[in-house]
Order: sequence, then structure tokens, then C-alpha cells
Amino acid sequence: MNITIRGLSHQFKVNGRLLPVLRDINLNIAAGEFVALVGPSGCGKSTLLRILAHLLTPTSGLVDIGGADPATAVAHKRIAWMAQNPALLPWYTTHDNIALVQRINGTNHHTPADLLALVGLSDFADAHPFTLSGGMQQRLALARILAQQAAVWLMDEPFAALDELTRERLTGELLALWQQQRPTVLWVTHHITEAARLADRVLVLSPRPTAVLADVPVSLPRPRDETTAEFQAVVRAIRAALMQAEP
Amino acid sequence: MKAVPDTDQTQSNGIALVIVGLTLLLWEAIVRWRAIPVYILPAPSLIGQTLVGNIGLFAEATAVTLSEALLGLLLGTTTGAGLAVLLSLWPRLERGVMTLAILVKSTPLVAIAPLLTIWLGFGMIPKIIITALLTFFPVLVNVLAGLQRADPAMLDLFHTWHSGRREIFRHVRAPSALPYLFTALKIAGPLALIAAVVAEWTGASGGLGRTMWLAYTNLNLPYLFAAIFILAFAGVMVYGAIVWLEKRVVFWQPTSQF
Ligand SMILES: Nc1ncnc2c1ncn2[C@@H]1O[C@H](COP(=O)(O)OP(=O)(O)OP(=O)(O)O)[C@@H](O)[C@H]1O
Ligand SMILES: [Mg+2]
Repeated sequence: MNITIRGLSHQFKVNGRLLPVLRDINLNIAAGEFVALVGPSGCGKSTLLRILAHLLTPTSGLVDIGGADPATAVAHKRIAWMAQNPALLPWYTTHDNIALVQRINGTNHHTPADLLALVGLSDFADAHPFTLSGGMQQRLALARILAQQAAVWLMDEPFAALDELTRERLTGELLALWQQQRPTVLWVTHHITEAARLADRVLVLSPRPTAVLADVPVSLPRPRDETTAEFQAVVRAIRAALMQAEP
Repeated sequence: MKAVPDTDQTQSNGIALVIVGLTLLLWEAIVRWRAIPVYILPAPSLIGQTLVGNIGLFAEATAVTLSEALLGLLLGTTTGAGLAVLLSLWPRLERGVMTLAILVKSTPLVAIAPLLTIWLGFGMIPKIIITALLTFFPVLVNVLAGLQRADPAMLDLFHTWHSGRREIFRHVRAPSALPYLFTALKIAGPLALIAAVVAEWTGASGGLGRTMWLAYTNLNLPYLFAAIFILAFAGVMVYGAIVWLEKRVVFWQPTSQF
């Protein structure tokens, strides 16, 4: 599903004063593209994602998700959302967390058991989320995203709270799952190498008020070898743009 | 999920029992040693004898008071929780209803109780109403807070799922409010017993409050103390029952044993 953003601006009102966060953002994202967003902390990455998910109405500008505005896209269940806080429902079992989103979304391409198997949680169907480790909780959140069969995945630093190894394993699994469903992904991250490893394109954002500083294409075949010179060149390009961003 | 392992729990229960036992022993010793008259302070042994000797009477009175307290608590809790649900679904009502609730809460119920007795008689109904009036407020305030303070990350998620208010209420807000409900019940449970007893003082045909009042007018202190002991014990049991239930209902939260 294509995403088009034209002249998008947003300002928050903080204590009666206006805080400009996004300024005149223009973006084209092709269907099935995996786009990573990097930028200084507080620049407005989450704000941009929230606007796309219709959790926030922008001050001005146009957002088009597959020919519809965000409200319609959400109403048509095109959006899957995942943030750093997995927001699992602790009062339901792992299985029921999946079953609930399927019921609400009206999707039943897979059984909850299938989805749990896909993320390696088969043995934990009857467990409650609070008994799972942080990594397992994010896996469950991932399974919930898969259950939605959505065309767009908006992911705001989903694995930021995990240790390096778990994180690498999970992003690897995510990539495999993405290749099966082929949704359009917007992936916010602070990790430059992670962005280079996962994305088709890395967008580097400037500090507030945010504009797109650089658009770095990553045309390397997956799985990517981080030791190659080409990969290192991409990492350097992202880092250079980010250096420009940080004052 | 247990905040305190079982062995620790039995141990601390044991310590509490020992302290209560020692206090009673000390009490007994002082009464005997100083030969304190019965109409000032009866010895625990005498209170125990009175209790056992009139166990039928006390059991009957306890049943009456406990029924009033629990029915009042039930009525107060359902009213409080029901109002909270209403206010969370129609926030515009909040101001008006909360002002009314605070008004009811601030009215001295000790002054209302005799009126209800005059209007409704010596039976259980006025006691149940007083108990409900006293207990609904903590439930209302806590449950409303719980409903409103649902995790914003969960609410975000449900919004991206295009869920309606009802779905959000059922799957997010209501479960989020359960721990708050139990916090309220831990306040309201023991309060219900006190409310029922105080209501009985204004005129009742049965119950521990009436027993206490009769004992007081006759300066029958062993009787009075026996009733107080029962009330204290009943309070602990009610509280314990609420904690027991909390652990099972709100299983996803690590609760302390209090
Ligand atoms: N609801 C809000 N009300 C007022 N200001 C807000 C609100 N949400 C975000 N902001 C402000 O907007 C700016 C951008 O916030 P945002 O969360 O989008 O940043 P971010 O790029 O996601 O940062 P990080 O990388 O630290 O997550 C920040 O200065 C923040 O203080
Ligand atoms: Mg953010």
C-alpha cells in the first residue's frame, strides 16, 4: 500500500505556546517498502507515526494511505501498530491476546496457534503475558501484528528495550515474516546498523521542527552481511546525515 | 505471583498471633494483680466465659450485623461501581454526579441514621442503607480512577484496531479498574461493619450494635467486650476474604497480602 505525505506540519500546544514539531514533510513510500526512520531524540518520529495511525490529527498537510486518509485507513483495518510498550493484555492468555485482535479485526487466515508457532511461542499458549520475558512479550506483540493481516505496519522502536542479541534475533525473524506478508513498513529506530540491515530506505530526520534531511537507499540483497564494504558505506552515509542533524 | 513467600506469610501471621496472645495475657495479669473491678475492665478470661456461655445469643447477633454489613457493602459497591461505569462512558455527567456524591459523603451519617430508623423501623433495611451510603463513595472514586487510568498504550492499540467504546471498556478499562475496586473494598469492607453497628445504636431489634448498646446501658462490660472482640474478629475475616478474592481475581498484579 502506497503512502504519500504532502506538506505535513504539526505543532503541539504546550502551556499555551506552540511547539512546531513537523514542518512541511513530503514523502512517497511505495507499497511493500521497508522504510526506517532515524533522527535525533524528540524530533518527531513518534508524532509522524501517530499521525499515520490516526492517533493524532496533524495541524496541516495531506496524508494518503492507499488512497484514503488515516481515519479511513484505520476504519478499513489497514494499519498495524506496535510500539516499545507491547501493550499486551495481562488479564488474557497469550492465545486469547491473539484471538481478541482477530475477532476485532475480523481476520482468521491463521489460527492463534499457527501465529504463536510462527513467533516461537507454541509452548506458551496458556501463559499470561506477565510470565513471559521481555523478548517473548515482543514476539507476542509481533504475532498480534501478523494476525491483523494489515497492509501497513507502523513500528515505533518496537525492540528498543531488548538486549542486543535478542534484538538481532527478533529483527531477523521480523524480516522473514515481512517477506511473507510484504506489508509497507515504517520502522523508527535509533540504531544505525539496524536501519541499514533491515530497510530498503533510511530516512534521516532533522531536529525539531523536523524535515527529511536525507533519503538513503539501501539496495543490498538480504540477508545483509555487515562486514562488506557496501554495507559499511551505507552505515557511513546514514551516520554522516545524522551528524549533520545533531548540532 | 506472590510478593511474600508462603513460609514468610505463615511466619508473620504467627508473629501477629503471638503479639495478640501476649497482649491478652498482660491484660489478664494487670486486671488480677490490681484487682480492677469488672465494671471498669473485665479480664479476658471473663470475657471469654461470657462469650462461650451466651454463644447462641452472640451468634444470632453476629449473623444479623454481618448480614447488614455485607448486604450494605454489596449495595454500596454495586451503586458506586455502577456510577463509575456510567461516568466513564458519559464523562459529561462527571461534575454533577461527583458533586452529589461528595454531598452525600459529607452528610454526617450518624445524624441520618436515627431518621432512617424513625422512617423505616428497627429492622435491617435502614442499617443496610446507611452501610451502602458509607461504602459507595470509596468504591465510586477508586473504580472511576481505575477506569480512567487505563494504560494509554493499550488505548492507542485499540484505537488503531478501530475498536468502539464498548470493546475498549470490556477489554481494557474494566479489567484495569479491578485492582482499584479491591483497593476500595479493603477500605469499605471493615467500614461496612462499623456502619452497621453504629446504625444499630440508633435503634434495632437485633445485632451486635444492639447487644453493645444493651450491655452499655446495664454497665455489663464483659458483654460489651465480648461484642467488641467479635467485631474485631469479623473485621479481620472480612478483610482477609477480600484479600483472598483479590489474589484470585487480579492475578496479573503482584499484590501484597494487605
Ligand atoms: N502530546 C504531546 N503534547 C505536547 N508535546 C508533545 C506531545 N507529544 C510529543 N510532544 C513533543 O513533540 C516533540 C516530538 O516528540 P516525539 O515523541 O514525536 O519525538 P521522537 O522523535 O519520537 O523522540 P524519541 O526518539 O525520543 O522517541 C517532543 O519535543 C515532544 O516533547
Ligand atoms: Mg518516539
